[in-house]
Order: sequence, then structure tokens, then C-alpha cells
Amino acid sequence: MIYYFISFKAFIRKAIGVILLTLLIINTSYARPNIAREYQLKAVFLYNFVYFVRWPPIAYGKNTATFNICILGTDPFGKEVDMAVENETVDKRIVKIIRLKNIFYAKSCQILFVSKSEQNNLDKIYTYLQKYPVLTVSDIHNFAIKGGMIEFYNVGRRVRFYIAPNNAKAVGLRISANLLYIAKLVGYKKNY
Amino acid sequence: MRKKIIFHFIAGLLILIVTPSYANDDDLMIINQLKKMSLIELMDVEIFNPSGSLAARKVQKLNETPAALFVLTQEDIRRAGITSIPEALRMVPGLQVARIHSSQWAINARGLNEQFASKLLVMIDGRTVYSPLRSQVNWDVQGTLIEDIERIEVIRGPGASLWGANAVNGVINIITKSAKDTQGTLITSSFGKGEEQNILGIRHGGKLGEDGHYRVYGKFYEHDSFVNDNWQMKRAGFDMDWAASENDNLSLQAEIYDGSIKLNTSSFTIPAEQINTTNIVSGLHLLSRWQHKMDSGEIILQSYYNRLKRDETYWQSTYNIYDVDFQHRSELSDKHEFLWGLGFRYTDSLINGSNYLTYIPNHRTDNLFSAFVQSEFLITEDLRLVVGSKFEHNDYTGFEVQPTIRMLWNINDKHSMWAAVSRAVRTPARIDEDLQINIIIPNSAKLRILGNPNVNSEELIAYELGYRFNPTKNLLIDASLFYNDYDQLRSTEASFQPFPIPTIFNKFDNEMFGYSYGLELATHWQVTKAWKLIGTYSYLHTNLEVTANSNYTGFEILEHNSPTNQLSLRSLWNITDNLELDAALYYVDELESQKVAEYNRFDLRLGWQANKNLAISLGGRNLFDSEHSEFGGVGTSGSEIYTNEIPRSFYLQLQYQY
Repeated sequence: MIYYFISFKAFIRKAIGVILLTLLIINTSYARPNIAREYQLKAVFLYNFVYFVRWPPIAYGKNTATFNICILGTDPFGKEVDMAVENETVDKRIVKIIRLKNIFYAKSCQILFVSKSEQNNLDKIYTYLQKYPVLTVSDIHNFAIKGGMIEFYNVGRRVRFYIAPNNAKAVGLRISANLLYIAKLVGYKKNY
Repeated sequence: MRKKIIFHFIAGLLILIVTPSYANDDDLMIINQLKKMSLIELMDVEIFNPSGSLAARKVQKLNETPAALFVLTQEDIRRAGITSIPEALRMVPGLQVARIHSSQWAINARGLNEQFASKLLVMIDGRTVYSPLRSQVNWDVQGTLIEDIERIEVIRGPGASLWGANAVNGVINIITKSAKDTQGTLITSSFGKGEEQNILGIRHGGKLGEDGHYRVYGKFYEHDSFVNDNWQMKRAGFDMDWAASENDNLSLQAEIYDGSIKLNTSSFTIPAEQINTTNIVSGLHLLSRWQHKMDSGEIILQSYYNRLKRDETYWQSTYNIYDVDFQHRSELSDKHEFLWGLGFRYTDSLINGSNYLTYIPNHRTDNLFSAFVQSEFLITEDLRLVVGSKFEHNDYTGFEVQPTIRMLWNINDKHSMWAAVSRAVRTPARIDEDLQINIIIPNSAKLRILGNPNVNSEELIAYELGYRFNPTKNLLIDASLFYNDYDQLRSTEASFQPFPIPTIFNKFDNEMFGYSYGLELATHWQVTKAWKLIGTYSYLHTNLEVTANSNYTGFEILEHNSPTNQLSLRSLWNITDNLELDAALYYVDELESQKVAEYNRFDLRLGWQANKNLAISLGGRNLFDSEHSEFGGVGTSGSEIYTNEIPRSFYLQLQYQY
């Protein structure tokens, strides 16, 4: 066992010297950190889905002015989701964030994010939405396979999603192949 | 001193002039960056959840943790203007933090505090910094770039079922940022009067190929003298993370440091005299970790080497720790998560004493084998049950079993409760078995303090109850109650031997026992978007006794070594987007044994984000009085502890980042 270093201080001095030198030599350009908070990222995903889904004309009803992204239950996004859609439009409609407490107001939404707080009301939500062309998104476990459309899940520190295309099709929503391509599909074949 | 101030000032001015100014809104910036990315790119973005906690050997949210957890974030540390780890711990309820010298603290959780408190396990990035020689934490050598600490997770109460022996009264996990989160160059500099005098830290982070990141850093720290004392540390290190595949992560970190610590201590004579000594410390550590994610769980394999050498007045000590730790977490079903692990630690230590103090044998190697299992059941949607235990074999007392049973009940969105019963032990260290102290008393018998090879582990059975109340999104109230039942606590038993040389023997034994109970409250209140209040309160009562055949008197000292009441209130206010005004008030009750009166401490800080790259903060501590004592007087072995008054102090910190 070595019980001491040959002049520890000299070593430290050298080490610091080397570090300083490396600092000078190393190329100081580097990529932007690829990192975000979970719901910052999910908010941007949510907004992005707009471009990969086509809604039938009846989805907008009489309301032609706004494109509504609704959040049902306890809002996990906070101001992040408002920031994500600030000043954005879809087909000349202003994108609006609406926070809902009750599923019965969801028919005017184009996208509905179901918060984890609604875990116990899923049956009611699925049943109610069978009639309306609303893209349902959630991060509740098994959301898609049980009757929802898009379900976020995490693989390690990255966000992935399941899509149940049949559930979307049933209410007249068309999901672009580009989106289906990067998602995992569920409820498509019998045993996914 | 003066020259240094001028240097810093000029450096600060230069930085101010050179850099352009930007608006500061990180969140909006991140969102806008994300919006520019394609879906495929978005799928590569990594998420981090600042509220998650690793204190349970896995990532867990506060309201899913059935333990008295308090998390200090980088934001808390920064806005308190704190530059050393021990000082940051003042903000935690249920912890007793008392400063003795510039470099020395008495720190423990839930009482039984003393200069070398033995029942608090501290880890930095999974590496234990608890000394195997003296059963204590060497606070004076701990510290990294304070800006690179992501968070400090403090669990009051036993954590032994996961972390093993010595996690008796509490466990502290200090977690540094990943290399990925510390890209770019950071230069920090602090100078002040009273406490830290000079700090210069440099860190640079960059990419290693496609999937790797690194940072290298160096730091110089110099503390102002209270009275005839000083603390100077130099350190340098690196941290590398490499995402070998989507599911594999490798990290490697190392640090090397040395320092010189000048302090007042007591001589080994009776009557004890104050002597002024300079201790030279140096050390290094190297840690590697492999993390593999699986479909329903993960594997972590970690190994490290840790070395510390101390050259002190009466002894020189060196220890080397080699540690391997494996853990596997798997979700056996939706309702059952199983965690198990194995560990091995080899400690090699050498203590060269003096006429007054020796360790026999001076060189020793110890093996520690450990295993743990833990199951977490989701009994119903709202009810969790955690059962687990650590099994250890050490060279001092053989097998130790340290189980826990914990229950968490999420009553509804707003209320949750938890309860726990656990056993933990403080296993003997070299000091307990091998110590030999000779004290010469003029015109009297010789005094010898001796280790005892038959000494047992100190035992604790802890009963805990916790309650969390989240009435609105902006308010969290966290309360915990505990009852600690101690047995076989360390005592020293005196005996007199008249022949051949009249000698008084003081031998370590386990004749002390007792209990303590207390209450800890923490409140986080986001009053408005720009103003946050954090309040804590701790109440503690300790009662210690010795068995009938013991003549140990130190229990009375230990009993009244911790404050009964402690209060803190911190206010974090963003006056504008780039101006912060933060205040903190701490109240600490008297320490009867240490003859320390109650005191109030008031800190104030003004922080200014001058532009995107430069942050300046100006602050003062202990503004209410010119100085106060926090600890000092008597050690539990009856020896004198020389302490210094903690003066009022001021600081200016500059942080430049690009």
C-alpha cells in the first residue's frame, strides 16, 4: 500500500495547471444541452401533434376562431404549455389553452390532455368522447389501449408515445403516417 | 487582503464591460428551443424532474416517500449565498448545525450532537464520506464546486435498511449535477470578510463524441480567520458521463484535494491547555458507475476508491476505502417493486500516534460485506407498504440486521401520511477498539483512555410518523414526529489500578441508553409568482441514562448538547426578472451543556443577474450581532473544546458563465 504521495502539493499544482491548459486548448463550441423538464417537453409535443393530425370540419362546430387545447384535471404543465402556444395559430385559428374540471365541457376541444388526477374517471371520459372528434392524450398508464389515442410513456429519461390509431379513426381523426411511424402502435392488431 | 479585493474588483469590472446583455427567461428559452426541433429530435431530449429524489436508491417524488425527507436544491443554496456544504445544512429542519471553528462543525440529526457526531451518514454521489477511523464525518475536507451540487437530500431518521450501518439518526445524500447539465465554462469567485475570504472556482464542460459529456474543475477556498484559525483547501476533479446506449449509462468521476487547517484544540495534559495547531489534509477519490435500464427496472453497479490522509498534532492517519456496490430494481408487477443489492467494502487504515495517543494495532484492514432487500407493495391505489432490511457483516461486531417497515397513505390529493418503524446501528470504528491515550497528570495517578475490543454496536429503534398537507399548489406543509429508543450507547467506564503504577483507566463500553422524541415542521409557500417563503421548526427532547453499574457522567453532557427549539424562516423574492432579494432568519435555542446562549442569526442577500453571463451577489450574515458562539465548552469525554465566536460576515460573489 502506498501511504503517501510524492509531494502532494506539487501534484495538485500540476493538476490545476493541466486543467487550465486544457481549458485554453479545448474547442469552446459545444451543442446546446439537450435537456428539459418533463412537462416542458410534453407541452411542446402536445403542440406538435397539431401538425400531424387532421380534424374533420365538424370538429370546430360554430367556433371557427380558436383551436382549443384542453387540460382536464390537475394541470401538470403550469405556464409552460401557455408559453408553448403563445402567438401560435393553426389554419388561422388562434391556439388557446383551456383548463377543464369536468369532461362535459370537452366537446369544444380539439386536443384534450387528461391529467393523472383523472385516473379514476377514465371510463366516463372514454364513453363521453366516443361521440366527438377530440384527440385524447395522456400519460396515464394504459390510457391508449383502453380507449384513448395517444399515451406518453418514459423510457429512461426520454419521452415516447403509444398511439391507438383505431380509436382516433373511430371519431374521424386522421393521424399522419409520419407520426405513426415514430410511435408504438397499440390496439391495432389483436395482441399488440 | 486589500490587493486581493482590488484584483477581484477589477476582474469584475472587466467582465461587466465585455459582455453584452440579454433578457433572462430560461423557461421561455427552453420552450422556444424545443419548438424549433422536429418530432424525432424531440424524442431525443432528456427530461429531468427536479422534484425527484434519490434518497431511496431510486428516483422518487417527495409525496411518495415514507420518510422524513427534506431536499435542498441548488437554488436554495445559491440564494442563501452558501459556499460550504455544512453551512447549507442549517436550512434543514431536524438538523443541529453548530459551528466550532472556521473548518469544524458539530452536526447531527435529531439530537445527540457533539463535535464528532457519529450517527449521521453522509454520502456524496453515492460515496460515503463517513470516517471508518473515528465514526464521524470529516466536514473539513468535503466540498466540491458548490455551483455543481444539484441537490442535497436529507433524511432524518434511520436509513440503515438501504444504506447500512451508521445511518442511525439521519442520512445525507449530496448529489452533483450530471456532466450534461454543466456544459460550458463557469468561473466563480467570492471574497468576503468574516467567513469565506477567497474562493476561486473554474469549471469547464464539453462533449465527448456523440453521447458523452465531461466537466473538469478546480477550486481554491480560503476561509477568514475567526481567532487564530484558518481553513484552506485546493481541489481539482472531473466528471464524465457517457450514454453507451439508450439503456446504458457510464460515469466516471475523480477528485484530488489538499488543504491546511489551522485550529485551536486542547492538549493531552491535565489541566488541558489550549494549543494552536495546523493540520495538513489530502485525499482523492475515483468513482465509476454503470447504470443499465431494463423494461421494468434497472441495474446499478458502482465502485469507488477513497483515500484520506490527515497529519494532525498527535497522530497521522491514512485510510483507503475500496467499495463495490450492486443494486437491482425490478417491477415484478404493477403492485410490487423489488429492490435488492450486494456490497463489499475493504478499508485499509494506518494510524501513527505519539506518546500521548496511539492506536494498537496501528495498521488494520477491515472487510464489510453487505446485502439488502426491499419490497414496495401498492396495496391499494393509495396505500403503499415498504419492507426491507440490510444485512451486514463487519469485523468488529459480526452480523448486523437493520430492518424497516414503512407505510404511506395518500389520503387524497391534499393529504398524505406515513409511518415507519426501523432499527439501525452505529458499528464500532477503530477508535472504539484500538485507541490508547496516555495523559500525565502532575502529582497524581496516570490517566489512560482505552478502546475495548468487546465493544458492541450502538442500537436504535425508531418510531416515526409523518404527515404532508398540500392544500393548494402553492403551499406544502410537511410534519414529522419521532420517538428514538437508544440502547448500548457508548460510554467510558473508569477504574483505578494502584499497582504497579497508579493509573486511572477509562475504557469504552456500552452502558448508556435513553430516548429522544421530537417534532419537525417544514413549510414551503409560494406566496406570489415572485415570492417564496420557507419556514421550518424543530422541537427536540433527549433523555439519557446509564446502567446501574456504570460510572459514566458524559450522558448529562450529551443530553443537553442540542437545542430544544429551532426555527428558521427564509424569504426568496424576485424583485424583477434579474434582481433577487433574499433573507433568512434562524433561531437556535440554548445549549445547556455547552454554555451557549440562544441566538438569532439574520442573513441578507442581494443578487443581480447583470446579463446572460454574469451574476453578482452581495450579502451579509449574522447581521443582528457582531458575534455569537454556537458550540463549545465541554466534550462528552469531559475534555475541553476550544471554540471561536462566529462573527458577522460580508461577501461578494461573482459568477461568470459562457
